[in-house]
Amino acid sequence: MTLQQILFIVISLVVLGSAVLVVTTRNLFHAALFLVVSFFGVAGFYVLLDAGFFAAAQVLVYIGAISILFIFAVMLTRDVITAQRGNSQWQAAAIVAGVIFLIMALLLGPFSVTIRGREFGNANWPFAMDGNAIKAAPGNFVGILGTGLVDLNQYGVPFLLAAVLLLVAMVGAIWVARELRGREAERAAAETAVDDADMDANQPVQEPLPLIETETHEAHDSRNAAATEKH
Amino acid sequence: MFGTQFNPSDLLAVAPEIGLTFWAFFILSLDFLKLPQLNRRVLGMLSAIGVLVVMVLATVLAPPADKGAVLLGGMIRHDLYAYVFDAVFIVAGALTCLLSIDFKPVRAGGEFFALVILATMGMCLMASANDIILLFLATETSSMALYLLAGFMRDTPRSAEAGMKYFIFGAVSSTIMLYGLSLVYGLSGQTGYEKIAAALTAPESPHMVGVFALLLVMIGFAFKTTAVPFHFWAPDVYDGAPTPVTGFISTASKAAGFAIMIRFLLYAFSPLAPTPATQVWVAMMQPVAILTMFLGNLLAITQTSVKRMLAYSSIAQAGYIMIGVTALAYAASRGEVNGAEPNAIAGVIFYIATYMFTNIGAFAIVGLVAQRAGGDNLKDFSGLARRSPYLALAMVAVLLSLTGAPPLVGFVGKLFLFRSAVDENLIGLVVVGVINVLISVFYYLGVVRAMYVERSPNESRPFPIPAVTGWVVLITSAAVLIITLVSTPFWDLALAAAKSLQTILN
Repeated sequence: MTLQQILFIVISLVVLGSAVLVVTTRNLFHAALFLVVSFFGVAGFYVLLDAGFFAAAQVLVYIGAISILFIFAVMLTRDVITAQRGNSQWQAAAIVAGVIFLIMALLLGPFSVTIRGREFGNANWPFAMDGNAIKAAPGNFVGILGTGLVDLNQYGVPFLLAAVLLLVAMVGAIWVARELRGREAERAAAETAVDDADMDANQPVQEPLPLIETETHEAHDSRNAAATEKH
Repeated sequence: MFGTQFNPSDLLAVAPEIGLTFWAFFILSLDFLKLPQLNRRVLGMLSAIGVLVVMVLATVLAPPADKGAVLLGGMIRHDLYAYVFDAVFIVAGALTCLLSIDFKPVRAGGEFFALVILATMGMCLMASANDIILLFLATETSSMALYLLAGFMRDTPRSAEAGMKYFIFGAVSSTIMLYGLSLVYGLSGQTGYEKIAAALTAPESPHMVGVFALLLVMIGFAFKTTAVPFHFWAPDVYDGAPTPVTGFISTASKAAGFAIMIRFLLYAFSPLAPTPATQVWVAMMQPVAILTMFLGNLLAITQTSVKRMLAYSSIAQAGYIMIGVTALAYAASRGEVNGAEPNAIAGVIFYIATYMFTNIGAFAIVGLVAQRAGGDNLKDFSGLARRSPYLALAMVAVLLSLTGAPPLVGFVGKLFLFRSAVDENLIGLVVVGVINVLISVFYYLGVVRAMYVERSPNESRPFPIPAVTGWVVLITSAAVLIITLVSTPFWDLALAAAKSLQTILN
C-alpha cells in the first residue's frame, strides 16, 4: 500500500464520518461544523489528485464563504438550534437508500458479480478513473479554465446563463424574505384585495331564487334572454 | 488568446434568449423609477408585447437554417425544432403576463413579470441545448423562476406550500438528473450530445453504467413532464400556485420537458446505434404512457375542485403526449428512414402547441370564476351559463378540446398522436388511449353539466369580465377552433421542425 492510498483511506473516513454526523447530530451548530470538516476532506482529495487550484477554491469558497454563512444563519436563528426530526418513514428510506447504494457500488466500483454466467459490474471506465489523464493535462490549467469560461466558442454561454440563474435566485430571495412595512404594506394589501363588491359572497342577498324550474318570472326572463341571443 | 475565431453573427442563434433577458432586465429596472403610472396593467402589457416583439425580431433576424447549425462551442443547436418550441414558450409567457394583470390575489410587480420572462428564456435555451452543461443550467434557470412564481402569493399558505413543495421536489429531481449527467460525462468524457453518443456506442464502454445513468437522467425528465411515477408533486403545486402561473407551469414547462427529453434521447442515446441504454428508454416509454394516462384520468374523476381536476387532467395529457413519444421511440429504434419518425415528432409538437392554448384558456376561466364566486369547486361553476353565456361557451370549447371532441383542435392533435402509434403497430396503446379519452369525458362534462344544468342563487348577478382576461379567453378559445379549420400550415410547420431534428439521424 502506497502512502497515497493510506492518505486516501484516511481522508475518505474523515469525509464520510463527518458527513454522517452532519445529518445525525441534533445540534444544528455542530452539524455546520462537521460540514466544514467534510469540506476540508474533499479539499484533501483535490490535493491527492494534484488539482491544487480546486483545493484552494474548495477551501476559499466552501469553507471560507458558504460554511461561514451557514454558521451565521444558525446562530441568528437560535430558537431552532436543536432540530426535531419526525420522519416516520426513515426505515423505508434507509432500505431504499441502501439498495441503491449497493447497485451503484456494484455498477461503478471495481467489483463484479457473476449471475447465470454473465458478469455484472467491474466497470471499465474509459478514462475517468485514470489519474494520469489529469496529470497529462497542460501545465497552464487555471489559464485554460478561465479562457474556457469566457470564450463563447467554449463554455461562454453556460457561464453567462449561470449569471442569469443567480439573478433569478437573488430576486426570489429578496421577494421571499423582504417584509413589507408601513405604507408599502398598505399599498400591497390594497392591490391584492379582490374587489369585494365583485364577489358573490359579499353581495347583499336578494330574494332567493327557486332552485326548481317553475314558471316564475325568473325562468321567463332567462327564456327571453335566450330568445334575444338568437336574434 | 482564444482557441478558435469567434464569429459575432453566431450570437444570432440565441437572439430570442438575448432579447428576453434584456427585456426582463428592463421590466425589472422600471421598478426603480417608482412612477405611479407604471402599475401592474402597464407592466403586464409591456412584458407581453415585449416578448412577442422579441419573437418577431428573432424570426426576422435569425431564421433557423434548414438543416440546423451547431453553434457557440457546440452548446446550441439552432434549428426549426428549437424555434417552434421557442414560439410556444413565448406565446405562453405572453398570455401568462396578460392573465396576471387582472388576477388580483397576486401582487404582480416588476419582479413577477421579470420572472415569467426569465423562465421563458430558460425554456427557450432548454429547447436548443445541445450540451449537457447547458441542458442542466437552462433547466435550473427556468425551474428556479417557476418555483418562485408558484409560491408568489407568499402570504397565502397554499401558495407558499406549493412553492416550497415544488422547490424541494424539484431540487431533489435536479440533483438526481445532475448525477446521471455526471455519470454520462464520466462514461464519455464529452458534454456535447453527438460526441456522447459516439463514445457510448464504443464496444468497450461499460453499458450497465450507461443504463444506470440514463435512468437517473430520465427521472429529471419525468419530473418536468409529470410522467408517472414522478407526477406526485403536480396536483399540490398546480392547485396552490396562482392560477395564471398554473397555466404556465402545466403547459410551457411541460413542453420544455418534452423538448429536452426528445432531443437528448435522440441525440445522446441515439437508437440508431443501439446500446442497452437505448433499448431501455425505448422499452420504458409505453408503460410510462399507459400509467400516466390512467393515473391522471382516474384521479381526476374524484376531484371536486375544478382547478385540482385540471391538474390531474394535465398529468393525463402528458400521458397522451407520451403516446407520440412511444411511437417515436419505436420508429427511431427500427433505424429506417420511412417518414414514420418525423410524423411522430410532429404529432408531439402539434399536440403540445395546441394544448398550450387550450389549457391556458381553461385556467384563465377557472381563475376568473374563482375570483368572482370565491372558490374553484364544481358548485362555484353552477349556473355560469346563465350568468355569462359566452364565458361558459368558451369553457365548453376548451374542455371539449381537452377531451378530444371532433370539431376542436384536441381531436386533431389526438388523431395525429394515435395515427403515429398505429403506424408503429402499437394498437394496444391506442386502445388504451381511447379508453382514457372516454374516461375523461366523464369529468370534463361534469363541469359542463354544472355550468348549464345546475342552478345557483347567484344567477341573476352580473359577471363582469376584466377586459384583458376576456381577450385572452377569446384568443385561446378562438385558437381552439381556428387551428382545427386551418390545421395544415401548423402541421406542415411541425413536420418541418420534426425533420430538422431528424437531419442528424440520417
